[in-house]
Amino acid sequence: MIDLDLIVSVLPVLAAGLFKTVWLSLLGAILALGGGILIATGIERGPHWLRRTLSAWTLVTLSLPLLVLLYLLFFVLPEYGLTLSPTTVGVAGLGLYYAPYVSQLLLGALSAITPGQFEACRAMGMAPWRYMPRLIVPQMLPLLLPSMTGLMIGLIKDSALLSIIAVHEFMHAAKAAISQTYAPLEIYLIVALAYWLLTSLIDSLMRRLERRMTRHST
Amino acid sequence: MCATEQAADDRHRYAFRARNIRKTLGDNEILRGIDLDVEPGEVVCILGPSGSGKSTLLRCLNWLSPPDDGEVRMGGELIGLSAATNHRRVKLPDSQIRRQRSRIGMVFQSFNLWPHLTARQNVMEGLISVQGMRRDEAAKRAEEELIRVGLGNRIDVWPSSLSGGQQQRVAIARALAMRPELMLLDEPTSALDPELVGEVLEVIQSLAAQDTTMIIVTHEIQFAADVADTVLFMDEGLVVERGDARQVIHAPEHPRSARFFKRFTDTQTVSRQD
Repeated sequence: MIDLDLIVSVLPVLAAGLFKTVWLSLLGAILALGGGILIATGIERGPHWLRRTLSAWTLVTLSLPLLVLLYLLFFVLPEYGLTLSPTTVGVAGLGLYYAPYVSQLLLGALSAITPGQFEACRAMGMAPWRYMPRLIVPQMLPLLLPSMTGLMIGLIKDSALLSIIAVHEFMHAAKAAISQTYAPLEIYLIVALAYWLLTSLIDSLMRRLERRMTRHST
Repeated sequence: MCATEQAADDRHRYAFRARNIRKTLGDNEILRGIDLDVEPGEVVCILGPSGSGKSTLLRCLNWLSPPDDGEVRMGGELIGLSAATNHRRVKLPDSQIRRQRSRIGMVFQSFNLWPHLTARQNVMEGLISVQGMRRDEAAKRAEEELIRVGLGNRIDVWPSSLSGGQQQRVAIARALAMRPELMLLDEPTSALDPELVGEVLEVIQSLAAQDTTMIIVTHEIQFAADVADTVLFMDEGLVVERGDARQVIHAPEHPRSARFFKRFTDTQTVSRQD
């Protein structure tokens, strides 16, 4: 028997957790984007040693499960004197984990731009800091949007792992709600529904953005 | 814009002068010592088989792809290198090289229009970013240039809605709007359907009539015969023959150029027989 009143009583807790999940995912995504841009720029335009270091580091972090990365940051770092809050570890973990993926997407999109585009910019006397944002990046965006959306959705789902290091996000709130209501089925159904709604929202938003960006092509 | 007179060589005033241009890509010596002179208002056509280095040469002239050896002067000013050099090649700072490049217009075989900008915005972009023009002024100049190439009714259209010939004309307008001292055209019609070649050649012809200084790499030999003052025939990284356009094409002296142009003059004779 589903006690609706009981479920409703824990909705505020769940809502707070969901909000935290969205907020942490956003921060992690921004970190991943910034890190990805830095890595891609370093690989693309950096000196040889930097390129090799970044490529090697990318390889290492891509082979690491997020859970292991979180444990490293949460349990191992304090041994060396760096104790961070669970939330900081969580956001940093998400950012560090996804940055290499972002950099790979950026480099892929960059290589998809025909060399002639760059030649036209350079032949006119433009500097990279001028033509990249105005002329090249807008061409990269339609290529990036679908795969970046995939990463974002993955990041939101992976944020559930943060509950294991005691970050008070959605999953954590769910477990608290279950211990209060003893109704795991209903709670997890709500949780699944919430994640699904969230990712669907992002997906449809990105689709609309993609359509707007490609209105100039046939 | 007037050319600055060369200090050392003041008998002749060259708009553009290249000496001993050499370039190696990988294992291939693409350019093996090219000399080139273009006077203000002159049209030079570079003809030759594929792989002769014609496009590479063009990209060396505006330092898009710096040559390994040799020098390029525009109105006496050394391009890409600091004037102090004699036996050492010292690169100019990037900002100066860019400024030099902005005085040379380039038109590419594959047009290279920016697809997310309209024709007008394509033409405006360089004026605003590089020449610091005000937006409304740039918009006006862009409109004038597009009308000049016959695209007055296509000003606010995306490149994807334009034919190849129209796109190339936008590209020409884009280069011209910057008021360059020299225009470099790299096989401007090679990527076009045959029916569209004519409209682009017409535009280039009108530019020649207006005394635009141009270096054109092309496969259109009849066009070169019509429009060029000088023709350079290149093969395997060297200039095999150079001279007056009509003379080199119709009465080449070197056996290699004779072989190249024979096919052209043969088809000419055939078509004249009926």
